[in-house]
Amino acid sequence: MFVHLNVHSNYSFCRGASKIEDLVDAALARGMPAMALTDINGVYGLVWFLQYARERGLRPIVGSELKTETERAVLLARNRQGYETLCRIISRRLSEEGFRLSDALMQDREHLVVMSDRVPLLRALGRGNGTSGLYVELNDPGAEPPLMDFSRRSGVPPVATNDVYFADPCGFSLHRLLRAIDLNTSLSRVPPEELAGEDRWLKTARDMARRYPHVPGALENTERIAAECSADLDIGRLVFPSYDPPDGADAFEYLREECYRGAEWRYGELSDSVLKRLGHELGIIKDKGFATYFLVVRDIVRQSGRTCGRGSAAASLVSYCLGITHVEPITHNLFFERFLNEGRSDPPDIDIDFPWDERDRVFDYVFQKYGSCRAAMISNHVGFGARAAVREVAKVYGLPEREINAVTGRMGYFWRVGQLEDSIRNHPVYKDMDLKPPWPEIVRLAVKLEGYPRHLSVHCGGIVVVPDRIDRYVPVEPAPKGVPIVQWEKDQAEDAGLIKIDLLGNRSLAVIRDALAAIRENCGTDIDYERWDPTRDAKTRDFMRRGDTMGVFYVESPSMRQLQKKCGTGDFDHLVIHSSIIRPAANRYIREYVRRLRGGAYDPLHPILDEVLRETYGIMVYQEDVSKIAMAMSGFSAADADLLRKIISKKRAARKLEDYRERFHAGAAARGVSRDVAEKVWDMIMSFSGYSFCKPHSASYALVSYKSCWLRAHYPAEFMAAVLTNRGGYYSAFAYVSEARRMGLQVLMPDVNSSRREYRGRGKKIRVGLMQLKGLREKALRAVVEERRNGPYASFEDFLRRVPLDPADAKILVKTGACDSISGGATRPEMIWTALALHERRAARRPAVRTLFQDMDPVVPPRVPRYSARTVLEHEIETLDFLISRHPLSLYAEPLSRLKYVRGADLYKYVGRRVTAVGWWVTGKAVTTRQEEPMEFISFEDTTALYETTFFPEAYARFCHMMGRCRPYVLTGLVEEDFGAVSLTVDSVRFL
Amino acid sequence: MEREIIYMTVANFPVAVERVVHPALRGRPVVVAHRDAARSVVASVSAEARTEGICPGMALSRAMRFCRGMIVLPPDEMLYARASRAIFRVLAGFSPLLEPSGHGHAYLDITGTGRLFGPPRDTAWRAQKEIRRQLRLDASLGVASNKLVSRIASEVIQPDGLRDVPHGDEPFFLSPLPVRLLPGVGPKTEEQLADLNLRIIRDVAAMRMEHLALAFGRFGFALHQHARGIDRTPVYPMLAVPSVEEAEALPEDSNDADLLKRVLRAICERAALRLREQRQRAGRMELCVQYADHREGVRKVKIAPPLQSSAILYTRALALMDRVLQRRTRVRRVCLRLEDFSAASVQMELFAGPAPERCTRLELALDTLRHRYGEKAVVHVCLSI
Repeated sequence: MFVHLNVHSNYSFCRGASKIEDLVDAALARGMPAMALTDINGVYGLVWFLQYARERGLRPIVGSELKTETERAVLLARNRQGYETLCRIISRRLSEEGFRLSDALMQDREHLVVMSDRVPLLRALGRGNGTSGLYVELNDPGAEPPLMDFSRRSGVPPVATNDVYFADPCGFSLHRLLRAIDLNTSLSRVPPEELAGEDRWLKTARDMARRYPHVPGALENTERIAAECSADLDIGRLVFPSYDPPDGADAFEYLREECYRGAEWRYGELSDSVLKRLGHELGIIKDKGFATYFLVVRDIVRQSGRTCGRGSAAASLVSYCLGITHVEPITHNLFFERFLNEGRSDPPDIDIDFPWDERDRVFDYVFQKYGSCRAAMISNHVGFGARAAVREVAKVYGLPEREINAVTGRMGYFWRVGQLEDSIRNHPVYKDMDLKPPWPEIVRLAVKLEGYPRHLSVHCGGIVVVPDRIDRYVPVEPAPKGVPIVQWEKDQAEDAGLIKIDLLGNRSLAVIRDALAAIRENCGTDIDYERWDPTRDAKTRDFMRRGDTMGVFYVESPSMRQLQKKCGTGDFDHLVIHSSIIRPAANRYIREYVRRLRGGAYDPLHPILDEVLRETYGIMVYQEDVSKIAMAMSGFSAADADLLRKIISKKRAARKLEDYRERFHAGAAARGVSRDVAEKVWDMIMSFSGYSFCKPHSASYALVSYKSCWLRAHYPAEFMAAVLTNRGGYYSAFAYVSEARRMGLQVLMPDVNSSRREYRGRGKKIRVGLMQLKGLREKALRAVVEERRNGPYASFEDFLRRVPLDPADAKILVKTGACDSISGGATRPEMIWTALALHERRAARRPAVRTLFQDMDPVVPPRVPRYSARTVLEHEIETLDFLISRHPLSLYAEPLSRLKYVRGADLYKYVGRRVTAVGWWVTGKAVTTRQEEPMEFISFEDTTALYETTFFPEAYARFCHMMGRCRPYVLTGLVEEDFGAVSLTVDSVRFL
Repeated sequence: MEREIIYMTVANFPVAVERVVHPALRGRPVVVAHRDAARSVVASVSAEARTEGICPGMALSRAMRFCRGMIVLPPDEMLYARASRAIFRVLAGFSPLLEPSGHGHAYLDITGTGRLFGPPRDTAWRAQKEIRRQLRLDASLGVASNKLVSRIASEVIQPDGLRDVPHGDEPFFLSPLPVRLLPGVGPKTEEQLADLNLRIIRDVAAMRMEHLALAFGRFGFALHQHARGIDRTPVYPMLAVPSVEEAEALPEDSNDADLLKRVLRAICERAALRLREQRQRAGRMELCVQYADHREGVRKVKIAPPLQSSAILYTRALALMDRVLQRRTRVRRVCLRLEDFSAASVQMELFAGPAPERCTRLELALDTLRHRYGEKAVVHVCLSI
């Protein structure tokens, strides 16, 4: 019997052409009892391999092929210690300069099987610490004689492998394509030494025997090695971080003390309910051994003044008392069991949001405190998205960049690679594009790349902290930006028992921070972020009710604003519901929800259900509603109910789901629920399978939303300035500037004497920050602001003398109008000439370029007329990216005067009528109907209002190709109203 | 002595030449492009096609959609080279100082020919008429005191027009024209000039030299001169540098290494045949690859010892191609140029290194066959597929 001991999956990036599942299935189909997975310099897919192989009944062997420029060996782990050695060697290989495999193995290979086809390596290892565990790897008949010769002389036994890169012979073409992509070359020019041979597939035992008839021992040895290697490496046990409390106290005792201290700070006097809940939570934390975890998280959270602890952790009073989260869990009825319960075996998940620009500092702190050998970030396995797959294959086919862009530019960001062929064939954006050969072939090949990882990147916020060395658990490698990352992405890391803490960047927290700082500076008002509760403020509630929330965290998207308008409720509790119901799992029930909220009658399926879902009007909104229903209706334990929720949300393990279904029905029957009703409830649970929030998460978000909205309501200039400064909201800066204008704020152009780096709001004015200037170098920006501390610039010459600017930077400042206030009557082109002349004079003072005529009179800048009005506007767009001084629609006064149209602000007066409106594109959201036809919701604005439009499939198919963001449109359609929210259903579009 | 320079250009030269060969094409929308290739682009466009919105560089499939009844002709480089030579022959009748600048464009220095042909404008008119009479091609001509102004003059008139700029009138002629017509002013410089509020040539001409030098350094001087219509570069007559050039446009853009090898083999065979016909050996070779996105890769190498054998030339050219093909974008055209000729019989040195290669008898036999039965009578087996 033969066992493949050198097998590469697609986790040997851009080399392996088969997925782990295909390899495991192929090995089983060929009657093999075991198989090793030995990806190159890594165990990137190890957890999936172990899980799938166990599920299918194949004995998994863990290993890796270590490769350096001169050495190569396949290492297999015999046991847990062997696995740890393997992780350590891989980590060293990927992080040490001048790493030598022979040296590393010489130090420690007791628990490893080492197979290599390099005689010098084998000889060195044999001399160093004996031939035990050492094998000569035969994988290429051509290179066999010297290896056999060495084997006979040295006594190192031979072992046969096929150095597998694909499950079946047909995998070779994909392998070649991957190599071409990796090497930036075309199919016909991949160097032969970079390609695996066409016969490197998972051959049957008989094929292998036929290939090595003369060394039967080499085949038998594979079986012997497989038997030697343990399949159980204890991967999956939870690994908690360690925390050293001050004065050597016990971690749990310290946590308890801190909790009570925090509770006093939060509540003042502690009520019975608080004490009871705290006791309950602490009991579970103690049983589960999570104390250190909480302490580490709190330690990290303390590094920033403004955070938002979210996820299920917000249901915990302990988190609230420790300052990790800010929503009071008892009053808001947050379900603790969603976070922790006695039966839950997987690690809890605490996600913390930090202001986006403070996050790197927090990471630095973590690495400094825990050391880079104890902490590492989670990686992402970057695969081929639809665009990347098509682009890469097209490049291999040698198509010119422009042509590739023309095709990939039309793809949606969320298109699935697997459905590319259908999407391109049927989507209206490809209506006018005739994809000639070789495009059909390119698309067909791109589809095959679905699910293939390409390289690692750093996960946006996941970090793992372990008590000892992290390379005992998983290989670690340095990411290009310098931080260490583990080789697994978040799902594998979680399944392997590593507890991750998510530290995520959040722009709105920075918006709140900046707005609060501006308020302090402008008005002297100081607001304590941690104890600040704006949820009872009437003005804020009114803004929320009207959906007047552009710029407000999470409530600013058109769909969310429309929902707020339709519901007409602005209170915190409803906002918590809305934040979750807008997610994919529940959003199809929005209409029904609004109807019920507005007083519509409904009949609950069962009284038990009514009890559970009363606060959400009988509609499932939160993730934990699944578990709650299962517990209430069928008597599930908290742990089982939580598992059921996980199974549904991950859509895995269909068999397990069937078991749960039976149990659900049995439990329901025992409670006297009829089979019919139970069936309906089960269907309802099943339909709730997409992404949604849990209530604690929703509540944490809603609190941040409320805080932003409070700032918008009370300090609009400071708030909008902070939104523009921190960028990255739902809308473009252009849309926010328009909104600021609609809010009655005056937006002032940048000015070297008044602008700061960031946007600045005060009273009724917002001054554009110098950061908005496109192309202005950071160094120049900083110099302008810093030198101004010594007093304002008196004139343009004074400005240039004090700030040594490159003419290119000076030109940007002049063209944008930032120097107009100090021009002293000079025109903008004259100022550019002055900048050039002064720069020349400065250069001439430098000795290196002294010339014969250096004492000649300096050049006097010429007199040049001012730019035309059109040029001034062009320069504004060029330097600021969009028009700030006026709305672009105001430039179309002449064509508008000939057009009869309805203003955006007046649309509500025309409900039920067909009207023509004029609009500038602001944002759009493409969706598909139930019939899988694409349509789009687009927000337009004119000078009076932002308004929503709907392009149903027919209109979308006709007009989607016309849509862009740099010209106005004339839209005709029917004005419709839904629960008070007005929108225009467009049936015709033309350019203005 | 005042110079008199004519710049002659034939608009849409490939189309114009095709129309001479096929008069039925006159007045119809015509483009030159590889018709059979699925992914071809338009190389030259007739005025009729241009009014339909088609411009050079557009994908043929798109152009076909714009203009259904359009006639598409495959490019015939040999024909264009022949036509170009014919035009130059006509022009050479007026002055020996002729400087070609690509197919269908040339400068002609007619200084001092007044007594033979009359005033420059008449000479130009005659040349235009002569080209029309002999070759049935419409040329537009600019006449001025230097190359710069004559070229600009030919660019601002109708395709069959004639424009002369009298001496001293150069600045007035140039002043209302946009700055981008000046040599060296591409989109980037044009933008820099616009920033300084210099949009037409008059604005630039009004500037002092030191101002332009401030903004553009040494180029400021040239700009200053050009804007005033001053250009002292002489007309360089054609230098007969002996060389052999062979090119082949691929029927369809491709990056298939085997196909490129075959194309290179065919080019090498033809080039070497021409070398042997001229009894020369080439000491230098230049390989130019044009990609589908119009970018080019060019490399030049010395060949030592000089050679004339097809097989060896191919081996060398192949090695050069490996270095030239740095990108994986599809290739549109391959061009091989051989220069630095030395006579076929070389005096051998007593203690020198390897002897210059000699053609095998096989190659000589093949040459004889080709002379008798045509170039394609015998081809390398890889080219017969």
